[in-house]
Amino acid sequence: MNSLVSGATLCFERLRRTSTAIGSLFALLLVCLGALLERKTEPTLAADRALQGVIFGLAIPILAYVAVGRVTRGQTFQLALAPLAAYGANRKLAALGTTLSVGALVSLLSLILAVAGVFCAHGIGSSRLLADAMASAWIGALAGAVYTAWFSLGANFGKNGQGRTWALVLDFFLGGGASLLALPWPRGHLRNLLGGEPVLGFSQPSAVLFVTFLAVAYMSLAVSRLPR
Amino acid sequence: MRSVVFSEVQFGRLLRTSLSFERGLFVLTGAEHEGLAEIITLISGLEHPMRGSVRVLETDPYRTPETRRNIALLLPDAEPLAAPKVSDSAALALKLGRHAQTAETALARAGLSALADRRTASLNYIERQSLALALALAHESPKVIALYEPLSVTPDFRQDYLHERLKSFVEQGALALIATGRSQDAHAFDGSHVSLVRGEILRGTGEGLDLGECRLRVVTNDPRKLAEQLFQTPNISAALVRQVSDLSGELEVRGRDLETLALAVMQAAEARSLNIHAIEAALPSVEELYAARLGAQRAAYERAYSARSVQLRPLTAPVPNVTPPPRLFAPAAPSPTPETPETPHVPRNPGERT
Repeated sequence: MNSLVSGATLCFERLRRTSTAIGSLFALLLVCLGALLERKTEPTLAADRALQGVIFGLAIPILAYVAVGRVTRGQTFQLALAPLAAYGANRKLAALGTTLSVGALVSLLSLILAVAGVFCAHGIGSSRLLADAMASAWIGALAGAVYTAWFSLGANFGKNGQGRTWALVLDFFLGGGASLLALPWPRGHLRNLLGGEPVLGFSQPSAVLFVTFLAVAYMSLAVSRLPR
Repeated sequence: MRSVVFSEVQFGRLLRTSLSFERGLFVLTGAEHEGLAEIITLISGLEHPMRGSVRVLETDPYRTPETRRNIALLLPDAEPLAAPKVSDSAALALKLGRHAQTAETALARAGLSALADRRTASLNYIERQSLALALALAHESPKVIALYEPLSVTPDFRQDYLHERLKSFVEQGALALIATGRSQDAHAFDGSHVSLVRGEILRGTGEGLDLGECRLRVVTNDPRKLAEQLFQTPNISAALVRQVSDLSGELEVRGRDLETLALAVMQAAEARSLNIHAIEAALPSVEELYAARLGAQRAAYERAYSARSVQLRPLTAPVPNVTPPPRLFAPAAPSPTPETPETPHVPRNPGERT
C-alpha cells in the first residue's frame, strides 16, 4: 500500500511544476483556436472536425505523451522509480500508483480540452452543444486514460525510454487507418466513438469495450514488465 | 549466512567479479574506475548485472523489495524522494522503509536540522548525499549497510553519529560495506580494509601482499635532529620531505611495520626533546597496490613454473668411464668446456605460453 501511494505522490510531485500549467494552458489555447478556425470554415461540421482533428488527433495524445515523459523524466519507467525502489518500494505497485495518477490527471485535462473544443466549435447558442459536450467529455476522459497507459507501456522500452516516442509514431501512422493494422492502437477506436470510420467495422459499444480493454492491457503490461 | 555474494558478475567496470561478505565492517578502497560505485549499485538492487548473479541475504535484491528494505543505503548519486520540503521527503522515505523514526529526529541526530525546511529541489550534491546518509542511519536494524563515500557529506554532519551507528549495526550482526576512493577516508573506519582493482579483491586469496616498506609522515620542529636520531635505530630510514618553515619540517620515515615506526619516532623525539606536530601513515596508492599485486602474481607463477621445471629436468646419468681405442691420425680433441645446466625459459609475462 505504501508503494502504491508513494508512486502516486511521485507522480503529483513531478507534475507539480509551473511549466505543466503553462503547457496545459497552451494545449487549451491550441484546441480553442483550432475549433474556432473550423467553425469559421464550416460551422455545421466544425465540432466533428475539431474533435477528430486538433483535439483527439493531436492535443490529447501529445498531452499524455508529455505528462508520462515528465513523470518518467524522459527515462525508462524503471529508472524513474529508482528513488522509491532504493527505499524498499515495490516497483510494480509504485508503477501502478504512478500510472493511475497520471491517467486520472490526463483524463481530467482531456475532458476539459474536449468540452472546451466543443464549446468553441458550436458557439454558446447551438442546440447540439450540450449533447456533444457530454459525449465528448467521457470520450475525452477515456482517451486520456488509454493514451497514458499506452505511453507508460512505451516508456518501458528503449535505453532511455524512447519507446514512448515509438508509441506516439505508431499510433499516429498505423492508428489512422481502419484495417487490422489499426486494431492495437487507440486512435482508430476513438475516431469511431466520435462518429468516424470504425476499425474492422466495430460498433461504438464494442469500441468502448475495446478501448477500455486496451487501457487495462497496456497498463498491465507496463506494470508487469517491471521487477518487484 | 552470506550477506552479500557476487558470482562472476559483469556490470559496468566489473568484469567477472566474485566476492562474498558475511558480517562485520569492510572498507572497500580503490580508484574511481575500480568498480566501487557498481558494487554499491548492485547491492542496492536498482540494477542487475549483465552476467552473473548478485545475492543479498540469500535473495536477489533486484526482485525483492523486502531485501531492499533491510539495506541501509547510500548510493553514489542518491536522489531524494520528490516532495516539496526536505522534511517531507525524509518522512516519505522513512515511511516507505517502515521505520519508526520521524524525519525531524533522523535529521537532528545527524546534525542536519538546518536542511529540514529547505526545498528538496534546492539541495546540492553534497547535501543530497548527507540527507541520504542520515536516512540510511535512521534504519533500526539493517542486515546490510552499503555506503558510498560516507565522508563526502556536509561539515554539519555528525561524524561521531556515523561511527556510533555503524558500530551498533555491526554489533547487531550486520554487514557494513564502506566504499571509498580516498585513503584518508578509508583510514577513518576500523574495519577490514579490502582493496579493489577492477572489481577484483586484492586480498582475495587470504595471502597478504608484501607492499614493501611502510611510511610515516611526521611534522616536527626539527626534522634533521629527528632524522639523526632515527638513523641510530636499525631497519628504519628517514628522509626530509620539506622544510615548512624555520620552526617545522616534514619527514618521511620508512620501515617494515607501522607500529614499530611510530614507536621509534616517539622515542627519538623524546630522546632529543623534539615536538611532534603531526604524524600520519602515508598509505600506499592504488597504483602501488596494483603493482604489488602484479608482482605477487608474477612471483607465484614463477615459483610454480620453476617447480614444474625441476620435475621435468632430465636426470643426468653418470657417464661410464669408457676410453675409446687409440686411433692413428686422430683429429685434435676439442677443448673441454664446463657442462652448463640447461636453464629453463621463464616467460616475461605470467600469461605467456612456453
